Amino acid sequence: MTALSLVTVTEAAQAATPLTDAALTALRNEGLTAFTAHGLPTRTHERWKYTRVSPLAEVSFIAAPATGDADVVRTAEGQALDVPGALRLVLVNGRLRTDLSDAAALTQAGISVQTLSDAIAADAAAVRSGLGQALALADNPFVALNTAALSDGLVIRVAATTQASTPLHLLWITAPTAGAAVLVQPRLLVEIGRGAALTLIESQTGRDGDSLTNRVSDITLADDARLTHISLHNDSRQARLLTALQARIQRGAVYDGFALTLGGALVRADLRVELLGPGAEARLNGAYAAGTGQHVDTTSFIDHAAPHCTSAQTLKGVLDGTGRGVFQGRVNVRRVAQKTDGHQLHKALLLSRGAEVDTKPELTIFADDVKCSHGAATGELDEDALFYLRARGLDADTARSLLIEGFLDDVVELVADEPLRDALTAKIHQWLESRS
Amino acid sequence: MALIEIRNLHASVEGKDILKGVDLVIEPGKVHALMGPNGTGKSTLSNIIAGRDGYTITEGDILLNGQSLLEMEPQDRALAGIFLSFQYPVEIPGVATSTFLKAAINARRKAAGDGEIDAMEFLKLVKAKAKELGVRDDMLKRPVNVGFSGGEKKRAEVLQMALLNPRFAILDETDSGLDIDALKVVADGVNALRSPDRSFLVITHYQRLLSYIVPDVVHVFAGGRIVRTGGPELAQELEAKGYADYTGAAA
Ligand SMILES: Nc1ncnc2c1ncn2[C@@H]1O[C@H](COP(=O)(O)OP(=O)(O)O)[C@@H](O)[C@H]1O
Ligand SMILES: [Mg+2]
Repeated sequence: MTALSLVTVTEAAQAATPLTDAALTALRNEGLTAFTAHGLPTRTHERWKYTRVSPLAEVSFIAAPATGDADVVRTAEGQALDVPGALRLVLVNGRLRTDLSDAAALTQAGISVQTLSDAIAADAAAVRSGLGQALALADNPFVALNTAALSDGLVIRVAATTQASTPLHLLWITAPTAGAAVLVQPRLLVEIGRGAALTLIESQTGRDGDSLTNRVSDITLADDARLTHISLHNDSRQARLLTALQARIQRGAVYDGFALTLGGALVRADLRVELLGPGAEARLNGAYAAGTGQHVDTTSFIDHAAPHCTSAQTLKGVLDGTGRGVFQGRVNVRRVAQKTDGHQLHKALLLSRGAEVDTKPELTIFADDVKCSHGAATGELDEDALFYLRARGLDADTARSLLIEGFLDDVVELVADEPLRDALTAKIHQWLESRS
Repeated sequence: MALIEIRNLHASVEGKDILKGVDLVIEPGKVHALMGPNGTGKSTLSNIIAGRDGYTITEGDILLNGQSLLEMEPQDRALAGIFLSFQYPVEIPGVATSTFLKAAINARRKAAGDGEIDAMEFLKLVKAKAKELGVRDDMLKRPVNVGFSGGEKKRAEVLQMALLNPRFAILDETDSGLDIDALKVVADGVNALRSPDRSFLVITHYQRLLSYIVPDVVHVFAGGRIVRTGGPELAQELEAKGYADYTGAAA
């Protein structure tokens, strides 16, 4: 299916931001060619089996303006994670706003933070090599489209052995224009050097209005590097958010990810993780809630390409009204990947008859000495627990809320750092308060 | 007036008659023990008093201070002063014990027209009671009953009772899973709560608990009803002779 408006806006973005580097210009064109050739994915696409994006073809998009008064930030702050002490970088419609960001975030020793265009101007080849190729352009139309638009976004590089003591917090704000649907396509590059460590927090927020944010992250962890990556997707009611993450994890490195999705009409996370050296570890945990008018999809592919690697993914979702949840998880264990430890679990709590969840965990194993498991469970609120709480005097609504909160908080326990856990549970609590 | 009065209570589950005419009157300040073989309906009776659904009451009534409980929601019964220490306390992942205790205390305060408990006051209160009952501080941080041993669960139940100050408390096999030291601690906790206007129904298999919580009245429960009533000496008789006399008669 073609989506003319997406192509037109992306072409215009290319024209407005010409790149001097030939290789990157060629890559952009490859992206555009791939997207125009394949169009929007349909349900025959395995990775898009349960998520319909064809309505995007009907929307007339415009390029997102670089707007953002202080007011935009104020609304976003209410939606974002609140992590005291984190250094904040504000990106409005994909563009870094230094005037709204913490200056110290840009000047930390051993940590370089640049806009994507500055990084390209400084060293295009370095940017080119940081762009992952795990999500092949031909198979991933939205990654192709993002690649075609390559210019907005951020590059974060942590030098070898640097232990970042303060978390970086990226506050992504999508600010639609009244009466129009905006298209925002930022790219995030994160490179953690050998033995270095960083905590990266991302909060995707948005102002009311029609929008499509198509964000791609390319993450590279060198040997023994560590990235704690906490994401919150808490967009406005009409917002559509497509995120793709490709992570390359080398020997002994640890990618510790947790994503919480609470707001947005359509939120799709495409995760592609490659465990490339012995002892590499990936955790892709998360929680989500989807009510009427919300569709939340997590589709992941974890590739064990080396022996002695560990991957763990526990995802919990609460579905209410006519909310819809999707989990497609595949763990691939290559022949060389002996002693793999791979676990995957999706648990859904259905609060209404109209809610629905589709899960498809998949294991493909080519090695013979591995410990792998996967599972999916879907249930309703535990009647015994409800009675227990009510027998202690809690009214039925309070009891239900407490159980829902507990269901989600339970998976937040997997986040090791207490302030980060507190920030996440505070958002879950805020979400529950707002729905009652 | 009796604090609790159960009149000719008949109840069934999924078409199966479980309670077959329970009559029980408990005066304020009294401790009654209910002893009997397994599977005869003691927990069913407890659950029905606390308001669990899924049971069909075919006959009879349950009165608290002369008011029928049958049409009341479980939470309203709890707020009216009914407390059930569960035979099998429920595990609630993700909900910290302290959060749960605070919610329960606040529900009670709200019903009484008071504001929410102050955070410091709450901590002080809970820590003091927890210490008395041998409930470790780290248990308060853990999710409700998750990973608790059998004995820890029962202590946590008694802690809840101590915090919620019920008028009528049912202890459904609170002694099971407790070693002798824990049994003493729990019994001390219960005894500390004995007062002229609070009553207890202590359900147990064993006389052991009743040496620490000395009952005023002992009932033998079999076949879905009370088949014999006596004083504390009846518990000793049952300990010596077992329930063989009753299991046959009950059928
Ligand atoms: N929800 C239920 N569905 C079917 N049978 C039940 C249910 N609850 C209890 N029963 C049955 O009722 C009887 C009494 O059980 P219970 O009250 O637990 O006995 P006790 O506490 O005296 O051991 C048992 O035969 C039990 O199997
Ligand atoms: Mg029982």
